[in-house]
Amino acid sequence: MSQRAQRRVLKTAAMTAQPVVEGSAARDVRPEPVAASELAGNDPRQRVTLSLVPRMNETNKRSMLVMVIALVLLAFAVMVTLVFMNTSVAQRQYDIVSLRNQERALSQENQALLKEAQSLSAPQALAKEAKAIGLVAPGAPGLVDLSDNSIKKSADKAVTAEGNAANYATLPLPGQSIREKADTKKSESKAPAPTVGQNSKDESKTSNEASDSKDSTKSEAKEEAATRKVADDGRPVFNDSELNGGTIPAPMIKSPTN
Amino acid sequence: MNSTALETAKKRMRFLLILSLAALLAIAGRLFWVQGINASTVADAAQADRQREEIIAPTRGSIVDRKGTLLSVSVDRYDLVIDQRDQRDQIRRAKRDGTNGSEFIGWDQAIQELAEILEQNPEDLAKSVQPQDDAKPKGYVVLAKGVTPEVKNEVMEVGIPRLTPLLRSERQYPQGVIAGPLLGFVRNSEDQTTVVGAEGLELSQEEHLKGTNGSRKIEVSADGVRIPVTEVEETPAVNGQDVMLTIDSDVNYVAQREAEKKQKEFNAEWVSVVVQEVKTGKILAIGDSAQLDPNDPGATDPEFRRSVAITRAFEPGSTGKAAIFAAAIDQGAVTAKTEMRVPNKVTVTRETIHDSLPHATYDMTVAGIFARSYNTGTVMVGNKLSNKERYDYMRKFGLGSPIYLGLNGASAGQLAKPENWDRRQQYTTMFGQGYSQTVLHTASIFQALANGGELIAPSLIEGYKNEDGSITKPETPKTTRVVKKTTSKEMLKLMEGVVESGTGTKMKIPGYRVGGKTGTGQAASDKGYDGYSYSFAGVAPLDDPQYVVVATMYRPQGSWKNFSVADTFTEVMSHVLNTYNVPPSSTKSESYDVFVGKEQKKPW
Repeated sequence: MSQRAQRRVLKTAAMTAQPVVEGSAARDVRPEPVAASELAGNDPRQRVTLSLVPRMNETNKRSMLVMVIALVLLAFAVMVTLVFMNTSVAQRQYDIVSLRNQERALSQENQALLKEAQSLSAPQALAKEAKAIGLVAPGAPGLVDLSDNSIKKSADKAVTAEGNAANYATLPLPGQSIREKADTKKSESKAPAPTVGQNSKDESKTSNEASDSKDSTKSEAKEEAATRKVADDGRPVFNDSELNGGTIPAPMIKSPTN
Repeated sequence: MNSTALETAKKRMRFLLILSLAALLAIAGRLFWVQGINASTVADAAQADRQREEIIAPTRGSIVDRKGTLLSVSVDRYDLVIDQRDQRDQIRRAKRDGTNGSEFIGWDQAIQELAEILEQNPEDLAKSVQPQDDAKPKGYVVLAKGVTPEVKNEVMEVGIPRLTPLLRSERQYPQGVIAGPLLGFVRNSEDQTTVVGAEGLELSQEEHLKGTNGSRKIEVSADGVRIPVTEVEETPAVNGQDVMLTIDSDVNYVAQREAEKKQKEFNAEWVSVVVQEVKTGKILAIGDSAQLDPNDPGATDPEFRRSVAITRAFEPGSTGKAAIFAAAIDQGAVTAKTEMRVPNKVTVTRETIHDSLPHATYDMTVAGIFARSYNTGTVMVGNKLSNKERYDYMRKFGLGSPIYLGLNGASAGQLAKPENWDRRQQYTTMFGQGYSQTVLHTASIFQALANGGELIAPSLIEGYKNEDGSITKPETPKTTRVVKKTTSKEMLKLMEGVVESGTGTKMKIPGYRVGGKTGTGQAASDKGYDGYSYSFAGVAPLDDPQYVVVATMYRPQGSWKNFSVADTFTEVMSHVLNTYNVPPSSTKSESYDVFVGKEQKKPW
């Protein structure tokens, strides 16, 4: 189709390309030009010409192959991507779970450490540690008046560990059961031994003598306690019925007997 | 093919066509119904079928003291549960020496390993792990409760199949017995996964501590596996608020230690020490002689699982005189210097009041009567007011009504109405008998007297710490004016007299001006009065009162001569003053003369 049309166009072009003047017979040689618009009108039976698809050449063949390969690759890539995405999503799930577990493990470790730290820094635990390394509570502090640079009161000396009657480690430690303590307390109360002496015995053998002497003073005090009614050191003796409220010793109120 | 056959074939074909069309129409109609008209319902049903909702449990809030020390905290623990059904004869597990591959072990070995980790008897454990003597295998047997995460991990490495750790929350009290009766304790919730408050602050602050459940909505496929790409709707759990207390755990330790020491010294029924801030009414410490470890509340006698400072009402004895003297001074009936002739024995409306010690008749000041705590003089002072007036003051000081700190079991004490007082009671109530109150009531009265006459309701809760770190304040405690400011000032001078030259000379603290009131009360039982209570309520430093410390010893035994809570008071008070860097008093004592005239040292 195109060949024929081409030819026609070529023919027209050849005509127009002919030199306008050629010798004296210029006008005769050159055919009368036909107006393009009139051409169809002049030849109504002439149909639109058809032409064959140009035959595929080598270049076209190659581009086709490239295209197919590209498409296949694309499809493959899409599939691979999808698979990867799927696996990565699945992998993420595992990651999330393992991170959650890790978080829990860490927070549990944190909990355990925090609890241990808090238990170690509990006042009674500190008191025990302090006692173990021989620290004692300070005496009363000294007072300095800065306005006139005078010492209002000098500080008291702290009582050394051996002579210190104060037992600062009496409360059960965190984690130490009260039950055990209650049991030992019961057994102790049957045999009235002073806890102060016992504890210092446990601590250092050198303080044995001191604690022994303390034991004896303690037992003296016990005897005194037993005979309290007759004991008199400046205060009058009175019987229990007179201990009737008020201050130490207690006052009392009595209804008239009559 | 003849024409009849052709006809039949055509018919069949037409029939088939109609049938197909009908089927198509039905399917199209269904499609239209499902996709067009009923779309949302069906989509919702599908959604509901896929969707699973998980509950995210909130963490229970902690309880911390005023310095942020943890007193109570929730931790993760595991219950180990085994399913006895469908177990094989041998256990296949990953090799434990770190190499790849797996090994087979027998049940005996597994149970032995498990017993070592759980510190249980292997024979007993075997009974739980495997069904005994052809018994039907059980689906749910608890092997151990509340094991730590480390133990759980070790157990899981043993590799016993169908052994599942169930996560649950457990409450721990890292400081042990510190402030035990105040914190209270918890019990397991009904579903055993968490804990709820059972006593003390854990119970009363439940609403603040427990937090709100969160939820996570996920979609699962038919085989129960989670569909990865679906949207996750997650409402995070709101953790409970941390409750911040006004308690100072160090001071509380000292209070507890001293209380326990005193209790042991005299084998008393109990000793309790309360430390309160004068200017805010905040409780700094409540120390009981009986220790409660909230980790193991069962170890403590039920009676002492609540603080005796709030549950036990007793006749206060002479500490009760403070309210009466304050009332008399407030009403202008007497002044601190009003002179009175105080005999050893006073008889009013046929009731004879003795002093405990026979003494000569003294010309004393009102301040002197307070310092020496003479009952006779107290009755003379108290008689200047009517019963109703004294009752009203006592009520205003908080007697007869419970003090709510957030601890249950608070006792109101007993204070009868004046019209119900008998002839004797109208006098005994003047010196702390015939009515009862708790240690906390005593602290509250002295707080009011030291705080310019304004009673601030005692409080134990400083604030609630939210998850974002912001702090919600609790309601401001109620403030009531009980006595005039001038009365309060006079009362401080009267209290100083007690420590300077009265019954409380052993309560002096070097460097500080201390005032207070001693008290000995009778302890009643169903057999009548058969014991005593010894108290001291003190305030320091008097030039600018900061702290009230009340120490009470109930029913001591042994030598009465030594009965005293003086060292308990001084030890706790000086510790508080030191801890909070209270500057020593720089002013001179303002106490009044005890006796009229120059001679101040007269025998008791």
